[in-house]
Parts: sequence; C-alpha cells; structure tokens
Amino acid sequence: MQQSEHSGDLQRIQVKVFLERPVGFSGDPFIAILDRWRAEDNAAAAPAQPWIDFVDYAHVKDGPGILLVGRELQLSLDLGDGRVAITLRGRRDLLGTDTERFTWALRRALATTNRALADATCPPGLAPSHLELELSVNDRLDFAPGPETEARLRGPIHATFDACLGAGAYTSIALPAAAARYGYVARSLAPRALSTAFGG
Amino acid sequence: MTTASLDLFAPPSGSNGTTGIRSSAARFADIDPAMKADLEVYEAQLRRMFEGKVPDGVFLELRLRYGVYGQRQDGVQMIRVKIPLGLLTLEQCIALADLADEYADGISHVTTRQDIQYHNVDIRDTPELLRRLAHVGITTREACGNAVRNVTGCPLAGVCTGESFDITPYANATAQFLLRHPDTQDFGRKFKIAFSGCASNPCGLTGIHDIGAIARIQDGKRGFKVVIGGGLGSVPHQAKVLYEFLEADQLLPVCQAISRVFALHGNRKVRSKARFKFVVEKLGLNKTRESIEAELPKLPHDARWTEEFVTQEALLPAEALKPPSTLDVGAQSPAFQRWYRTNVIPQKQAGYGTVQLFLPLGDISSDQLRALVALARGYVKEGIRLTVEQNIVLRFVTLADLPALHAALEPLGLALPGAETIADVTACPGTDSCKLGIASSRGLAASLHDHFVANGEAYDDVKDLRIKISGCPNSCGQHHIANIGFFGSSRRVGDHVAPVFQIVLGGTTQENGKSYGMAMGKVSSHKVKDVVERLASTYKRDRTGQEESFTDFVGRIGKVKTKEILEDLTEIESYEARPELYRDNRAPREYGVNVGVGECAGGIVSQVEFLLDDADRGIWQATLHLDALQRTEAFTAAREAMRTAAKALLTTKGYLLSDRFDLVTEFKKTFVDAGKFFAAYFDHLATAEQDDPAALTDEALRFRVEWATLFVEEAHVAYGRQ
Ligand code: SF4
Repeated sequence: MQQSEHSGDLQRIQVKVFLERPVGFSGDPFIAILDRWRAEDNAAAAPAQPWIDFVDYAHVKDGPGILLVGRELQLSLDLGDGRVAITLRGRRDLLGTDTERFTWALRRALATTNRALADATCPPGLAPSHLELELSVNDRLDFAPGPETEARLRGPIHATFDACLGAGAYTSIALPAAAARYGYVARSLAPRALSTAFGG
Repeated sequence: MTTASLDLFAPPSGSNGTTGIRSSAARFADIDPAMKADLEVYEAQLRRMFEGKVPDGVFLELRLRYGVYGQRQDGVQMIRVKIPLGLLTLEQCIALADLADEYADGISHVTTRQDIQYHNVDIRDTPELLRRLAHVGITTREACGNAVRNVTGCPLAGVCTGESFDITPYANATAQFLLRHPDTQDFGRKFKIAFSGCASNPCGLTGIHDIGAIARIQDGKRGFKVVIGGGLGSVPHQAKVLYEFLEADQLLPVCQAISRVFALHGNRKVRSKARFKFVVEKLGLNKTRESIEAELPKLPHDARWTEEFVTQEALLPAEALKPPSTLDVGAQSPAFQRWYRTNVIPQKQAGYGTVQLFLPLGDISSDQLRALVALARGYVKEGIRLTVEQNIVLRFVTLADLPALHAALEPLGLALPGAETIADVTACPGTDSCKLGIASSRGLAASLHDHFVANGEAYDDVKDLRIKISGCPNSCGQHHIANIGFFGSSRRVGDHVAPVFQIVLGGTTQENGKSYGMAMGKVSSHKVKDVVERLASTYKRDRTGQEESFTDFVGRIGKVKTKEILEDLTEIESYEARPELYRDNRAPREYGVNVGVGECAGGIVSQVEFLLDDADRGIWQATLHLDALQRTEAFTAAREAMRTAAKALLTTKGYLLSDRFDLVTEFKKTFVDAGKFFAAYFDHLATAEQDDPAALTDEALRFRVEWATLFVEEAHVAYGRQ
C-alpha cells in the first residue's frame, strides 16, 4: 500500500496542461469563456452551483491569470512562469487512492483544455505541441517537498503519467526548489495531440 | 465511490465528515498563548455554527473579529490579515505566499491600510489557515468588525529625511496595547489609528483616521500632535486637533481613554452614524476632550504605557545588511534612471536608499513574493514593509546595489517604474468581491494600468497626480483624497443600466490628506481614461507654472470651466449606439438589470429619468452655490435635489406629481421600509427637512451638499435595480 507511512490526505492536487504561447498572446477572451462555463455548468448542475465566480488577475505579470473559482476546485488560464497553461487546483473532497486522485485530476484538466481549445473564441494558436503536464501538490503542511513525500507520491504521479502518456514515451523532471511545492513535469518525447492522452 | 468513476464536470463531494473543517490544532500547539486561545474560541464557534447551535448574527460578528469577511459571492470568504505598520519579516512573507497558494487564489493583496487580504477562501479552511498565520506570529484578530483595526504608519519611518523621529515603536506599541484590550471590545463600529513622522508628507494620512498621531519634538521631548474624528466613508470628515503636543508616555493612556469615550458615546442604533467622527461631531471637540480627560484618572496604572515602547524598539531594530556606498545614477541605463526617479527614495542614512515596488492593483503573486524574498536576502536585513499606497518597500539598500537589484526585479515583474505617481492607481475591491460594490473599481484600475503602461511617458510632466477609485460612495479606495478620484454608481438609460463613475476633483494626499474633493459629474466607466487624459493635458497646458498644484489649478479655473472641459465625455450613448458602455471594464456580461422592452410604462420611465436628471442639475447648482459662499441657496438646491429624486422614484410606483402626499412619509414607506433605498441616505432627506441653514456651520453645510449627492446617486442606483 503506497501511503503506509504518510497519513496526509491528498487533496490539493495541482495539474497544469502547458500550451504554446502564440506571439502577442492575450488571455482576455478567457474572461468571457470562463464566465460562460460558470453559467452553463451551474445551470446544468442546478440546484448545486459548483462554480462561484471568475477572478481576473491578468494584470499580475506571470501570475495566476484568469480563474474560475469553484467549491471543490479552481480552473484557470494560468500565466505563471511566463508560460500559458490550463491549470486545475483541487481544494477538497477527492476520494480514492493517490493514483486515482491524480488520474481524475489529470483527466479533468485535459478535458477542460479540450473544452477551451474547442471554444470559438479561444485565441488562435493556443495549442500544445508536445504533451507537457505538471502533477504537483499544493500542500506544504502534509506534502512539503522532501523524502517522505517523494516516498509516497513519486509512484502514483508516474503511474498517472504512464497511463496518460505511455510508459517510456516521456521524460519527467522534479519541480525546482523555487516552485516551493512537490511535483513533476512530464513531457512527451514526440509532438502529440491532446486527443492521444490516456490512449486516445 | 472513487474519483475514477466520477463525472469529469461534476467534482466529487461529500467526504471529510459532516463539516470538513480543517483544524491542525495539534500540529500548532506551540503558538503564542493569546493567539492559541483566540483560535480555540473561533474554531469551537465555527463548529457550533455548522451544527446550527450559534445564531448566524452572533457568528458573523465573531468571524469578523477574526478577520473572516463575507464576499459578494456566497460560499467564499475574504481573510484580512492584520500587519501593524505593514511590517513583515522575510519568513512571514514566505508563509503568506504559501497560504495564498493553498487556501486562496495564489495572490496576496496589499490594502490601503497595510493589511494583506486573501480572497475566495473556504470557511472550513479558516482554522488551519489562521493557525498557520499564528505560527509565524501573525494574527487576524480585530482585522475586521467593530474593533481597533490595523494601526498604520509611514513605511519610511526611521529612514525619512523629514521625520521628527521614528514612529515605528510607538505605532507598534499602540497596536499591541489595544489588541484584545478590554476597553476596545465594546465598540459600535470600527476604529482606525494612523501614525505619521511629520505633518507635511502624505504617507501617514492621519487626517482621515479616528486617531492620528503626528511625531513632534518639543523642548527636547518626544511627543505627538494628536488629531481625532477624521474619516472618509460616504461623507468625509477632517480630523480635528485634540492636542498640539502630547508627550509620548501619555499616548497609550490617551488612546485608551478615547476608546472608552467611543464605547460610551458611540451610536449603536444607526450604523451609518456609529463611527467616532459622529461622536466628535455630536459632542463637539471641547466636550469630547473633556470626556477623554474625565476618563484618564479612572484608568488603573498600566506599566505597558511606557514599557511597551521599549519592548517594541528592541524588537524592531532598523539595520542594514551592507555598508553604505555611492552610485553614479547618470551613468546607468535610461530604464534604470526612469525607475530610480520614481521608485527610489534616498534615506537620511547617507549611502542607502529605500526601494518601492509598485504592485498593480496591490496584487502580488505567491511566485513573485517567494522570489522577492530570495532576492531580498541578498540586499536587506530587516524584512519588508507594506505601504498605504498598496506597494512594498525594501529599506536600507546600499546605493551601489541598486542597479543589480533593479535588474533582478525586472524579470519578476517587480521593477515597474511609476510608484506613487499618476500610474499608481489605488482601488478598493469593488464589485469583484465587495457586497456593497456598485461598479468595478478593479476593472477600471486594470484598464487604467494598461493605459499608463502603454502611454506612461506622456504623463511624465504630471506624474505627481494621484488617482484613487472606490466602487461605491463608501470611499474604501480613498477617492476623496485623490487629485482625480472616482466612485462607482449606475445610470439607467431606457431599458438598460450602465456602470458609471462620479468624478471627484480637488482632494489631496498632501499634509496627511488635508483637503477632500467634491463630486463633479459622472462618466461612463469606459470613458474614465478619456477624462484622465483630458484633465492631465489641460492641466499641463494651462497651469500657471510648475508650482501650481492640480488641486489649486482646479480651484482656480472653477467648477463651471472644469465641467465644460469634460462636457462631451459625460454623455452616455444609448445601448443601441454603444452597447459596450453597458458592460463594466473587463467584465464578461452586461451590467445591472435589463428590464426588457415594450411595456406601457414608457411614459413613466421618461418621467423618472427626466426628474433624476433634474436632481443631478440641482446638485450641481448646490456645489456652485457652496463655492460662491451662497449658503442658503446651496442648502436649498441640495434639499430640492433630494426631493426631486424622491419624487422621481415615487413616480415609478404610480404616484403622480399632481397628487398631494407627504413626500418624506410616502417615500419612507414605499422605498426605505421596503428595503429598496439605503436607509442612511434617506436620513439625509429627513434631516434636511428639519434643518435651518442659517444655524449650520460651514462644515455642516458642506455635509448637506455631500449628503444630497449621495441621496441622488442612491436614487439612480435604486432605479437601476428596478
Ligand atoms: S468603497 Fe464600496 S465597493 Fe469599495 S470596498 Fe468600500 S464598500 Fe466596497
């Protein structure tokens, strides 16, 4: 059993699906896109209201971008590190084994990315070339970078990458210390479409 | 159930027990005992609230006392983290960055009162979040609610060339002394204290606080000029001088006595009249002073009155990491020189500079904050300070290090030039998260930021102008003390409602916020940029010389001329002609209420709009009369404007102007009692009906005109809501 020594409850999973940043890119269309998702999803889920509101941090350089804040998770057009990513940040209420939780979060982030790219108002040129994915944990209390967290989560993270990208079909590197969270970024060896993730 | 089986678009839920409260109490057993006790109470009450054992109202006041504030959006909270004087160690900065990432949006927002705010926090996470703050010595206790809020002070205290002495230990001692003090636990409203090292510079803004303390030395002794009863809010009050000089060791007992007077005399029934400024107004300055002095002998001696200063002085040494040095600024790059001119302040300690980091909208990401800490360790020893301009300062940077520091800040997005210039726009949260917001102050600030980034050099000659924006008349964005201020309102045009901003001109942050601006008419939220451009270029062209300030310039040319200059920008075109005017800045959807078309109420709509326009004109006339010292005319025009606005709204409920009815009674019944008109603004009409203008002081007369402005604005907003 993978988490025998470490009792932390894995909730704050963060997934990034990196996209190529087109020249002159502006994330502003995502204000309307995320707000439309909020309205559509809340109507579909009524009376539950999974989404609370969108938040605009586009004025912060290389910041969290434009966010859709939900009760259990946040989605965003993320502008961190000068790159562009669709990011999912889990907040609470995930269930299952660690691998199941990572897998659910990654599938959800990929589905969100597909939904964004299929939107008629999505900025042109925004697409992945290689599949480049971050799986990390935004929880420094229970999952600070270090040997204990590595012992517990390295396996589940790479099992999730294997299922998504195919074992041996990607390289992975640990997040640098400056990121201040535990996790890995995987990049497919060859250019790939989003549709090929998890075996297409 | 496992996540693998879940619908991708329906996040899983229902685990984590009945409440899902995150506590971590056992892991943080070693925190300060007072903070620990606070958090035990908070968590116990939160749990009881979830179990339905605490009335909502009781829990509301409790959570406010712990800095947990409801947002406009249901289900998430804003957390206000109290940072006395904005002083943070680098370790505390790291903790703040981590907590922003884990519990909020990855953003720490610096407020105009040197706090940090997190947004969109799940209330169930708050016990753990607050414990993690306590673990690094930070409390949110009394950050919100009816309490002594964060004590603020000049970020340059101790390094400023113009200060009388360093106010840091005194301000921090005041914050610590009044925190949880029994005499500050029974207020009817919030209470704000600020310190300034000198009388002339704006950093302390003591004139807009309940207590302002300005450092002075008299006969070789340290002390303070103490002012009381200031405050912005919808109707701003200038603080009045309680003591020209109060010896430093009297400061804490006097603050304690003032707290007792506020607790004893504050209005607890009418929230809009509950601030201390209304106590001073009601009692008068002399009677207030007598009441304070009557409390002083009752106070049991407290050793902290003097010892706390010594404790704080020892805790907060002002130290440099490196020896002083020199720098040939002219030999550096143009980009550096531009940044140096606006963002570096020479210190009184030769060879050192204070660097101001300009944060657009007061926001800093967790990545930026961590990177800043890593960088700062190589340049400074004492940590950072947050400023009331929503920026960050690094002090005691040896001058020779400035080019390297600038180069290192650049890739972090923290080397923007223009700190405390026209480009450094202050904004409250507005409709982004505040329940009272009417228009998007942050959306407007973000749009202006883009404008200044693109056109910054065009404003070089007028860079000292300051712009401040509030999302409603309440002035959390401090629009009254801006050279060019704006507060949010709305206008209904036909079947659509447009977000607008009232232009407020003539205020200043100088001399601790010594003068307040007056409303000058409103403009679509999309035309604010044009108003700023027009005002700046006219000032640049027509001022009598470099020494004429913008406030003096506006006063010299007068309201009529200023209004003429802006006249063509104040039109709000129809929805059909310019639909974008009916959507707020950076907003995804149409603003306000669309009531549809084709109703037979068309005639009534045109009448209400006609009357509301009349009321606007009445307000304008009142301000002109006020300027011309035509007291009775000013009062009458203001009162008539309110009456006209009230009649306008009543016409929408089937009242005819020819009907005979008691306006105040009917308006109260139809709008105020029905919760459709803000009761505090209605009081202004009721009061005006009783007033004798000849008996009013000049300040009271100005209040009447301001009240009328607020009443008419509220009428527009109420009409927009229909
Ligand atoms: S000024 Fe108004 S909108 Fe802005 S924070 Fe204050 S109450 Fe809210």
